[in-house]
Amino acid sequence: MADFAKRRLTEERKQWRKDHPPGFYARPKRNEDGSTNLMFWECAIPGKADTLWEGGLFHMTFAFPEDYPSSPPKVQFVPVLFHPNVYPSGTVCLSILNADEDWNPSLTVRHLLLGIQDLLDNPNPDSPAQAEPYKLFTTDLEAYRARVKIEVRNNPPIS
Amino acid sequence: MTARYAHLERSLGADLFAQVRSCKVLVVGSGGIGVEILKNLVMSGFGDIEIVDLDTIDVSNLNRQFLFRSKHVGMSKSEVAREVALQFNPDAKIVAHHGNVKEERFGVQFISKFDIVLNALDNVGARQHVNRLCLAAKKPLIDAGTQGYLGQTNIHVGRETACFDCEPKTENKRTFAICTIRSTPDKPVHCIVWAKELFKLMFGNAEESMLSGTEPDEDIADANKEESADPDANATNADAPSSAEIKEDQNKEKEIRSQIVEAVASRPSGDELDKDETVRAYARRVFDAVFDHEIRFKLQLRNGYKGANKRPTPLTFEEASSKADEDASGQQAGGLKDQRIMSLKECTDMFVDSVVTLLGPERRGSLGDMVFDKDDALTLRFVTAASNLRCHCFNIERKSLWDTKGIAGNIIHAIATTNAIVAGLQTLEAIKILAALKRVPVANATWRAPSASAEDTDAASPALTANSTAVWVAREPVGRGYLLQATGLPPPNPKCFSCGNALVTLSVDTSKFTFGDLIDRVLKGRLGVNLPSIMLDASELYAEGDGLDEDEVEFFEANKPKALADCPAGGIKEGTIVDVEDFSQDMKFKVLVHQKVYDAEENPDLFEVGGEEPVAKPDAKEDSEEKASADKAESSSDAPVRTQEVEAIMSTGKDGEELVAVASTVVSSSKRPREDGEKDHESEGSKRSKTDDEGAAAVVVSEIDLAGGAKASGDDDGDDDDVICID
Repeated sequence: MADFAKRRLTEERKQWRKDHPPGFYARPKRNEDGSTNLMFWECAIPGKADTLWEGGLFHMTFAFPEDYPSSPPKVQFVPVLFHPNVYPSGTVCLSILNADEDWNPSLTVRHLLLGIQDLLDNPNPDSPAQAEPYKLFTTDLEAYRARVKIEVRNNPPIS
Repeated sequence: MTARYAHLERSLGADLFAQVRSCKVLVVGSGGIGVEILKNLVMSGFGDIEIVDLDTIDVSNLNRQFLFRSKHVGMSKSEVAREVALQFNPDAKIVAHHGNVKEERFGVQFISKFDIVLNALDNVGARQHVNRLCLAAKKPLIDAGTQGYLGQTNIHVGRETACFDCEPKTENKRTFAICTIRSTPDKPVHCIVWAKELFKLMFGNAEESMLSGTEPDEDIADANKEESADPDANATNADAPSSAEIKEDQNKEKEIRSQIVEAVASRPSGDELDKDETVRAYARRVFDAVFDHEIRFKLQLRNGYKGANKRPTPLTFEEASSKADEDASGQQAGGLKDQRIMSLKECTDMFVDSVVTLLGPERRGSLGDMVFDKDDALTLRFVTAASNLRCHCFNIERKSLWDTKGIAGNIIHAIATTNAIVAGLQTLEAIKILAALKRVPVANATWRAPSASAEDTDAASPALTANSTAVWVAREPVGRGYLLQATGLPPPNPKCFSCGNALVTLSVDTSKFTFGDLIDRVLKGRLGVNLPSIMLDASELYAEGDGLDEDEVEFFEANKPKALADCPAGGIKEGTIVDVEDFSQDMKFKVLVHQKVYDAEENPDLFEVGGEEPVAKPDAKEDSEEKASADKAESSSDAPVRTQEVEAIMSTGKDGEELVAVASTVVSSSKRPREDGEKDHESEGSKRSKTDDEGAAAVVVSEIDLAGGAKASGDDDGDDDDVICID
C-alpha cells in the first residue's frame, strides 16, 4: 500500500488521539480477527448544540484512497442520513470532499468531521443529493424539522 | 554584583560569559548528580535554569545530596533544590518542576525552549526518553551517570555524535542457574537468593517460588548425561551413576522437596496462629526441613556433592540454638549493629522471631501476597537469618544485615564525590558547547540530514562538539595515573533506532513468542518505548496511551496472548517488518523479525535484539576498532577515535565561602582528522592516553570546600536507595 498515505494517516490518528473535539470519534475499522484497517475509518459526529440535530450521534465511514491525501476520502453515512446533501448511498456531497472542488491535502479528518457537522444544520440547497429531504427542506420546513427530529431519535449517542 | 562574576568574566571572556548568563539550561533530575550540577550552574553564572524531578527527599539522600537537610525530608526535590541553590546565587532564575520528565507537558515543545539539556538521571529508561526528546527538539544533551566509583559524562548532539541509544544498553541483571540456588551455592549471594525464594514459598506466592516444585533439577540430570558421554573428561567414569541410580536419586530428590513443601504447608491456621508455642514449633519444623533434612538427604545422593571440595554440613535446630557462637562473635567487636555478623544462635533466634512476627496479627492478612522488600526490616531480617544459616551449612562466609540488604536489593552505593566529579565535567562541557554554539549557529552546522554520512560530518563545516569530550571516571588510575580519562565522541550509529534510520532486528521464535512479549519484554523492556503503537502494514495491531476508547483497549489486549505468527493481518513471521511508534515521544522505527528458536538455558530471554545486524561503525579506522574491544566494563564508547588527556587537579581554594567547579583553563585542539596515526595502547585493558600537545586538553577543576564541610563522602552508611546506572 501507499506508504505515504499510511504515514499520513498514522500521524492523523496520533494527533486525533492527543486531541479531538468532544463528542466526536474517529478510528480505524477493527476486524474480527484483531487487525485494524488504517485506510478505512469509522467516525461519528454529534449534532451541534442548539440546532435541530442536537442529541444525535451520526455514524459514518471514511474510505481513504491509496493516493490520500492527494485525493480526499470517500465519506458515507451509515446508515444513510436524512439530509438534502447526502446521497441515497450515504455518500456526503460536500465541496471539501471533492477533489475537483475545495479538497486540499492539508485538510485532515478533523477538518472534514467539523465541516460535515456544520453541514448538518446548514444544508446547501444548490447541491441536492437526496430527493425527500431536499423536497421537504425547500417546500415544507415544518415537516422537514419533524423528520430531522425522528432522525436524531434514531441515532442516539452511545451511552 | 560585579564582584560575584569578576572571576568568571575573566576566565571565560566577556562574550562567553554573556552567553552563560543568558542561555537557557534544563537539568533533568535533582538527585545526587542534579544538586551538584545546579550548584555548579548557579556558581558559574548560569542565569536561566529549569529543573525537573519527580521525587521527594528521603532521609537516605541526605548524606550526599547536599542541598537537602533533614527538615526537607518529604518535600519535592526540585523545589527544595531551587530554593537552596538560590541562596548560593540569588541572581539566578530557576524554575522547578515537580513531575516525571516522561509526562506529556515535558514533550518536544518544552525541550525546544532550551539551549542545552543536562541529564542527571538514575535510570536508563528516563535517559533514553530525554535523549529522544533532545533528538526531536534538536538540542545538545550532556548526559552523565555514576555507579559507585565509576562514572562518565557524554555529549549527545543530534546527528553529529552518537546519541544515547547508539550504543545498545546491556541489561546488568544477574542470573543464576537454578541448581546453584537449590543445591550448590558457593557464594553468599546464592544463599540470599535462596532465602528470598524461601520467603516467597512461606509467605508470598508459593507457586512462583523456585523451591515449590518437587521435580528434580533438570540440570542435575543433564550434568550426568554429559559426564557419561565424554569418557575423557572424567577418569572415574566407571563411577558414573547408571540410569537406575539416577532414577533413584531423582526419586529421593523429589522426596526431599516434598518434605520441604509439606513442612512449609504445615503452617498453623486460624486460632492456632495466636499461640506463640505453635508458631514457634512451626518455624522449627521449617528450620529442620531446610537446614537439616534437606542437606542430610542430599549428602546421600550419588550425584549430590560428589567431588565437591566442601561437603555441606546439616544443621539441626537443636544444635543451632544451643551453640554459643564459636565463629562469629568477637570477630567484629564494635561497629554498627546492622553491620555486625551475627552468631549462629542469633540467626536462629532471628529466623524464628521473624517467622512469628510475619505470621503475627499485623502481617498475617497478607499471607500469600507478601513480597520481600529490602526496606521492610522484618522481611530483611528473615532473609538475612535464613541465608546466613544456609551459608553456615555450605561453609560460606556469612553476611551482616547491612550487607544482605545491599546484595538482596541489588544496591550499588552512590558516592558523592563521583557525582560531584561528573557534574563538574558536565558543567564544563556545557560551557564548551555554548562556546561552540556562538561560533556555529545550530541551523548551519549541525542537525544535518540523516543521510549525511560520517565523512561529511568530519568535513569542512565546524561541529558543535569540536571541543567536547566524553570523560570516564575510573576507580583505579589508568594509563599514566589519571582517574579521569577523556575520549573523543563517537559518531552516530546509522543503525541506531533512535537517531538513525534504524531497522531493529528481532530474532525470536515466532511460533511461541507472544505479541504481549513483544510489547512488554522487547519494546518496553529492552528498547525503552513507553507507549508503543504497532503497525503491521496498514493494520494497527496495538496501541496504548491516551485517546483510546475502552473497547479499543480491550480489542488490543486481545491480541497480546497470540503468538507472533498468529497475529492478525497475516502474522509476524520471518522477514516481517513492523512499524513501531512511541505515542509519548517523537520516535518511530521498524522492527525486522527473524525466526530463530532459542534454548531457554542459553538465552532465558528467548529473543535477541539487533543480533544479526552488526553494529555499524561508520568511518571507524581499524586501529580504533581494535582497541575498543578490549576495553573495560566502564567503557561503552565503541569507537573512541582519539583520546585526550584530562588532568584533574583537585585543590582546595582559599575562599572558604563557595563551592565552585569551574574551568580555569580549557585548551583543546580543533578536531583533527583521525588517521594521523595516533594510536592508543592497551594497558591492563584500559586505554592509555597519548600526549600530544595539539590534542591535549587540560582541564583544571578547582574545588573549594564549604566551610561547613557540606560534602559527604559517599561510602558511608545511610545511603541505600539510589542506584545510579552507567551504561
